[in-house]
Amino acid sequence: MTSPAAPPAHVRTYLDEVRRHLADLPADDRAELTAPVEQRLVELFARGGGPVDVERQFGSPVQLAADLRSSAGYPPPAAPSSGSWFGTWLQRTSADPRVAAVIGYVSSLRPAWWAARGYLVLGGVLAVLGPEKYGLHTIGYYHQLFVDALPPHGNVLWVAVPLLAIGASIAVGVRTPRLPRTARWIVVALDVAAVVVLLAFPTWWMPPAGAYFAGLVG
Amino acid sequence: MESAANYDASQLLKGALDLVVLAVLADEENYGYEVARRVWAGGLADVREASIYGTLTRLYRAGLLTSRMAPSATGPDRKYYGLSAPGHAYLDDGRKQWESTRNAIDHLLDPSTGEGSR
Repeated sequence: MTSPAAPPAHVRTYLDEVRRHLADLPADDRAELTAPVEQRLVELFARGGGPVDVERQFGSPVQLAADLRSSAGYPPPAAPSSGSWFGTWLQRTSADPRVAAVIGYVSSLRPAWWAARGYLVLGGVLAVLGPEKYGLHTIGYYHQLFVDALPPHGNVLWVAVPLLAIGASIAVGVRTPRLPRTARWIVVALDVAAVVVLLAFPTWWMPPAGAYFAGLVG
Repeated sequence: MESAANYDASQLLKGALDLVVLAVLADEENYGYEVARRVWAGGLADVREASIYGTLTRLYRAGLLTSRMAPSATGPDRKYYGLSAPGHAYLDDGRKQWESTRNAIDHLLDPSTGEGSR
């Protein structure tokens, strides 16, 4: 027997998500249900031949957990301990296969949001901390900020810094399910900040001409 | 704006999957993914892999399957399932019931072809 290599981060994240959706089951039962999936993913990964598209293989984590649960004869997840009508409604609704399919699709778009979040949060930080005159209402000002700040390297930074922010945000997104509870709240705060920036600076991503015609810059 | 409803075969499969899995394991023991492959190769390509794994777990809990761990060349150890004595009895009984139910349904769905029962 060869010792299997650890699966890549996105596979581990996927399995963590599946386990989270089976969290109400006894640990032994949960391990019993997820073991063949883990085995299969490790084998797929070990075989090589390109990245493993986990969701294409097994569906979304919600869907996989629901399939495992129902075929193994376990009841749908219990209502949350708070017993609120909203929590109960949410549990019942997300157990519906059609809703689970929609949730699965929306979940598959998360990496795009992680990338946008990095860009937006960086924009928000610069809007707050950057020089008043730029205000960051357009991408042209954003460009200008770096050009003025560091003349010889402005263009490099204009590309490199946002890319770093986007990369960091994606890295945080991939690891979020494994972060401790308090750190996950910080991630939620980042999400909220990104939405706030998106709403507060509706034109900051526009090219200068767009902002000019929108009457936002003279 | 109404669209015609399509028959949902997944409900039909749900009841039959236990027998299908037991039948696949009747002659030789095997592990989860290989069971899934045989079910797909047998013409039930829409059965989800996870449903096979869940079904195996449930049948094992019910005492219809035996299991043992065996090393794999490409990953963690595999769990091989086989039929227990109650599993064989359950499958034999299930086959008979399937046949009589299928004959009755065939006749009800298309009275011209079946002989009918009783």
